[in-house]
Amino acid sequence: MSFDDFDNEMIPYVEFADNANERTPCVLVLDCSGSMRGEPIKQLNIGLKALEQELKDDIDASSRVQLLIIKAFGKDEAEVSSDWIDAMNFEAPEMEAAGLTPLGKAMELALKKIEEQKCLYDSCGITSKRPWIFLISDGEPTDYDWEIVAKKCQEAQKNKKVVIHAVGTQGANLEKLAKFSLNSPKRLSGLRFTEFFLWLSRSVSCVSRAVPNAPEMIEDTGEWDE
Amino acid sequence: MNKSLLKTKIVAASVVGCLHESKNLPCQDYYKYARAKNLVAVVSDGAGSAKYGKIGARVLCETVCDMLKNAKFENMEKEVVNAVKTVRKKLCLHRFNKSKKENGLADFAATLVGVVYTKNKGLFFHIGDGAAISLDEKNSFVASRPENGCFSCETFFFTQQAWFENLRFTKFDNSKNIFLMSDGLTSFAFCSDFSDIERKFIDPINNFLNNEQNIVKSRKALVNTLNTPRAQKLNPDDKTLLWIGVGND
Repeated sequence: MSFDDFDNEMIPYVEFADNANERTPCVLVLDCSGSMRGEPIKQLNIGLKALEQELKDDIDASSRVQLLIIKAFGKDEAEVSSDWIDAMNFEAPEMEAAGLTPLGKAMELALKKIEEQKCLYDSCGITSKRPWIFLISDGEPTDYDWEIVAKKCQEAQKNKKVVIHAVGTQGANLEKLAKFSLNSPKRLSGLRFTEFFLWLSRSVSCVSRAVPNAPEMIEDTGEWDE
Repeated sequence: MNKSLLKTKIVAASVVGCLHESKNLPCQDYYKYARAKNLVAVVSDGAGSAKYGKIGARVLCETVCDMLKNAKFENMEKEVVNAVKTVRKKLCLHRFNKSKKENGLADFAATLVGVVYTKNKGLFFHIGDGAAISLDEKNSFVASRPENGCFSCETFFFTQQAWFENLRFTKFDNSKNIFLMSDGLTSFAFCSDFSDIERKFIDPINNFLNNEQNIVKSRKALVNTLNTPRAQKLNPDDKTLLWIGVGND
């Protein structure tokens, strides 16, 4: 008999336990429109670097939290700036500001990427916590059908498929941002992106360590929330 | 009462990790075994960062097997040291070592995990990561665990100047089964703090390979199992497992 005769042969019941750490997926949807030029985008990038370091320094979070970054920019464009990656391997991308604020498109992409990732987890037998989406903007959505997507977001949250938090900097239209989430939007004090991302790291780390079915534990927003 | 003759069985497989596969690079792991006066088996993981890591791994496995298969077990630690020294000398003269000196060895960097077994006595020898496990009749284990540097991504290689300080020996006896593995499998084979072996990984493989008589089928099943998408996703490194069912032949 040849090697090829056993193409489908497997050793039964072998478990690959290693990184079967339950994953906590977290998506950052970032407004990188023209109005973020200058100090805001600079502070955002500093904040992302702080998030990278903080998560890598956290033994639990570094292997359990998975990050995805989507940016809304240009002529109503939404694109993945950093695809799904374990926090231990995450490298903060350098964001640039230009163009409009297609938050609807970006949130729709976030929902789609979450759906895809959930399928991948399931196929690999990896359990996961409910995904988080953080929508961060200094303005308001500019794409024409953003309200349809906002409804989809609320629906997904109602169906417990995702937890969405909207955060607006000074000048952001919190009323419109609120439509993407069942939770009240938060206002970022000044340009305290670093404080915000450190808080995010602590919160997502806390959630990643929580026992199954524990209530969602969000850290005190402390200094960054107005 | 006559003891029935149980033949020693060896099944080994290497699979390319998806990291190397995506870059169209070959598997950097190598293994070799030999049976003469002693049973010798060696697994080596060529450093991905080294230009000729795979060559280093191959020369190491072949030379160590050749030199230890008929060596006296009583002197085995010295014999292992001599074998590594011989490999280093060979690689100093290798045509890819332009400097023809020891500082050119870094291009051949590879880890070493091996075993010599004879008459119910065994010795693991080990530099760097990867691991070796011996299971006895009662299924209790003796292990040679991976050793890493200050950071988890750093390990030790036989090509380093301080290789001798990082060469570790572990004695054991009355083995029924022996596992040698490269770094791509250690996280599956041990619990997270390496204090215990992961029975849900080790036992099914051990049971299957002990019971399956067809060597070709055993090897194919091992290859397929190590190559499952889940294993590849959880650890994208090359994976080598060398399993020995110790007989009384």
